[in-house]
Amino acid sequence: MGKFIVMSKKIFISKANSSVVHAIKESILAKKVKHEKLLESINPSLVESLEKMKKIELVKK
Amino acid sequence: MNWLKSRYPFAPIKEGAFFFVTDAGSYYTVDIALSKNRFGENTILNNHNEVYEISFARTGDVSHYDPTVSNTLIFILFTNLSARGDTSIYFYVCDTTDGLGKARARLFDYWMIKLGEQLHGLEKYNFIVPGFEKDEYDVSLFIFKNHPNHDAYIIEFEKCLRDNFSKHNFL
Repeated sequence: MGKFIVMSKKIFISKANSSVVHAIKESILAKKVKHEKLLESINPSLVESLEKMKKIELVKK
Repeated sequence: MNWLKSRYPFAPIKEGAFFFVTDAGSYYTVDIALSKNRFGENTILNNHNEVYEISFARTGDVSHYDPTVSNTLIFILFTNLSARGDTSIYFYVCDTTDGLGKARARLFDYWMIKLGEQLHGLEKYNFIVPGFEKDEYDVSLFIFKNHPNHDAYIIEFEKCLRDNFSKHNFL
């Protein structure tokens, strides 16, 4: 198995197609919308469960 | 593996999407979504059902660094990437639109170093794409070193970033 490599393999795109740049920009915006929708669809009872779990964990510590 | 010991509890939202709430009350969402038709006509990247896009978001401002957030995000990535096996590949488009892109990319690199300590053989490639002015976009690709299509995927991914990247089917 190889070693994990980070930051050592940078590939510079010398000149990107303008449609690619537009697509990247649009995808960043679309990603924000997607995460807003994810937030809206969170089940409140799950939030309650997570808060309870955090409290239980704190008691254990 | 400190990130396994101290983390926030998290819950699923839907397939591949999770959330957690910090002590400061911020919500974090993590999405690991199968990326379909994101690469134009590229049949190598589009047809194998093994290319996933990773993305994150949070609500509210962060006034101080909370290491438990990093631990939780690393844990979510670790459990999901492990479950998808060694043949899946992943990419991440860093949000550079708010001036915090470089800091965000560095933080993401840190998470991936921690993740890579457990997922041996996982490689990260950073593609720096120039914008219209002096801005640039940082797109990361993750692939296991021993993946049978390792070189082909990297070459094709780079081709897409030069010529044919798409936001189709992102939502």
